[in-house]
Amino acid sequence: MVKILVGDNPFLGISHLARERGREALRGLTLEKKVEVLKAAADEGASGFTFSTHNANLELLAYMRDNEKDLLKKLECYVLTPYAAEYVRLTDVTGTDRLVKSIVIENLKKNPLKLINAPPYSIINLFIHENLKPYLEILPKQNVKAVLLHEVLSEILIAFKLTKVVKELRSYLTKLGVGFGMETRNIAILNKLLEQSGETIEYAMTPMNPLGYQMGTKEEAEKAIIALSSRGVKVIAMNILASGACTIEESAAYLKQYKKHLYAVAFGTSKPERARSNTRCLNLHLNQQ
Amino acid sequence: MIDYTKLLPTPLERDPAFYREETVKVAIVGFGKMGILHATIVNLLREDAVKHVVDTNRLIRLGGALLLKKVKFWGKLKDLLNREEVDAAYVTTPTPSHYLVAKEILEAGVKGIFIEKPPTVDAHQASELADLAKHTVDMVGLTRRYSLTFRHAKELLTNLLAKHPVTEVRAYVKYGSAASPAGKLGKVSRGVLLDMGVYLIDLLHWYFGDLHAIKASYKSIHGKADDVFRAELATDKSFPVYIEADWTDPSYRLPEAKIEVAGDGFTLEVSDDSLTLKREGETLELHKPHYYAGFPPVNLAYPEYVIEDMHFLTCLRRGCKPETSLAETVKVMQTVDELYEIARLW
Repeated sequence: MVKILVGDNPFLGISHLARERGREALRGLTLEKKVEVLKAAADEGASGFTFSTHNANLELLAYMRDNEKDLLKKLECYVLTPYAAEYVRLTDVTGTDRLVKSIVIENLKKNPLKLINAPPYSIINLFIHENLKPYLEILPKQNVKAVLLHEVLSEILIAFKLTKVVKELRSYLTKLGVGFGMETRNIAILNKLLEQSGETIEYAMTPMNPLGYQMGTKEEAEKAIIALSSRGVKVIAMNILASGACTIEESAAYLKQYKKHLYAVAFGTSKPERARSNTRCLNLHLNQQ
Repeated sequence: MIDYTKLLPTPLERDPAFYREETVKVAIVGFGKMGILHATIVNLLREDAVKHVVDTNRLIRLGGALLLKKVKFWGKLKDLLNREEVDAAYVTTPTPSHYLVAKEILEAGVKGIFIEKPPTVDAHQASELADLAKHTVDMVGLTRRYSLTFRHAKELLTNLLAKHPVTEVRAYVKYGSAASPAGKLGKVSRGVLLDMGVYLIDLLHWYFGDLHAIKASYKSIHGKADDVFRAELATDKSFPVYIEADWTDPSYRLPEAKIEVAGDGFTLEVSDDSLTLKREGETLELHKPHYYAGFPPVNLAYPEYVIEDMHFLTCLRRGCKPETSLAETVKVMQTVDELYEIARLW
């Protein structure tokens, strides 16, 4: 079975097709409306929600805890962290040096002993933990399947071959009882790095669509996905609609070729009827034929 | 689907093997957001190409050295240039320091220099650097020139303008980065026009030729610098060009640029994400995924950042001038200067 997940981009006003469209979609998108989207997808068999640690999602999850307990219990969660766009914006405002300093000081204040006694890479664990903390307080523990490192950090780790940091994060999250994954748009390079270093991760989330949009060299990415899944990495396909440039039918037909290598596929929408029809179509192509 | 290969800058080697096989020693001067971005892209294209990082901040050097074992961290640019050989240096320090940092690199005879936009604080400094860079592979990071939507617009406009006169151009660049009060921004006297408006001025120069400032006004919200800047310019063909640069609008989660061209029998709208051409009752509408199908070979942030780095590395290998060399940028900076000179508070 290929799991079907709902992504959060439209809930945050993100449209990779057109930023203008993303902003428009966000207008009138209330918490109730977001819940309707998740419910509609779940009714058709979607099993999870993949979201970044953005305050709007925290608000949504808190609302669900208070008003939609059954739905929250039903959904597996795949958490992307940190919410990079906010940090990028902060570097524009304060400068990177001040931002780094403030993160270190904040973590020192909150976890002085942990930080002083820990190896240097631990600051990254603490940083990730601080981002996750409010979400872990809301979500039923057994529902948090994976924590995926946001692509901005993943690509840095990949580019500089920081497999020790990968190892550190993996063991830290394993201790918390959560799977560790990386979101990346450079899956072929990630695959090569893991292969060469002997390091592994539990999940890899990467764009997969018929156009090859955000996939780098498409054939290399496809080969890497097959290689990773054959080594036991759970591959989650994202941006399956090429940011809206492909229809769900085109995407489902494309993904079908790789279904035995896919753990899950994720799509985003702000419309309940679209959530229903997309889930139905993906289920039909990936799980019923 | 669009044939993106026709829109790419020349020279640009599209084969990823070209970069992987190339031996190049790159130094990053200023390891902030843009330094990390370029360092990551360069290393994704070419394994371990980034050999040196210069940053005056001790915390950045300490943290960087702990994490990036294959990179040597330096506190002073002078020490690096005296002791090591580098093929290319990326200048990604805060804008006011670009001139002195770039001058030092150029005088040391480094083969290639990439300066993040804006290249300098004014045209005088840009012109001085351009003179020093005559025999260097020098490039300014005017990223939107490498965006395929904006490049497609250039191609379409070149054909359209021959037969259809333009009547009016409107352009904006917006972002919410300064939506809350910020200490850093108060320290520079030139703000959003220099930092973000320079993208628009560069594209407009590229599309329509010389620009002349007619009137300009600005608003300062958080510091002394301009946070919102509006201006009217004219081209040699006399049609008006209205621009707005604003970094205080929180509804813009990411920086966004858009140019609308109205002409005799056509309208063309181009942004970071899409291009729409309406002509003779027909509409051509293309979005980002139509331009970047299976390209570029690596991804980080926007594809145009990767394309600009690929262009720089290709030029470096071939010893030729990139499209956005310092000399090409001087006239852009002159327009920026002109606009600041006539700008009034509103």
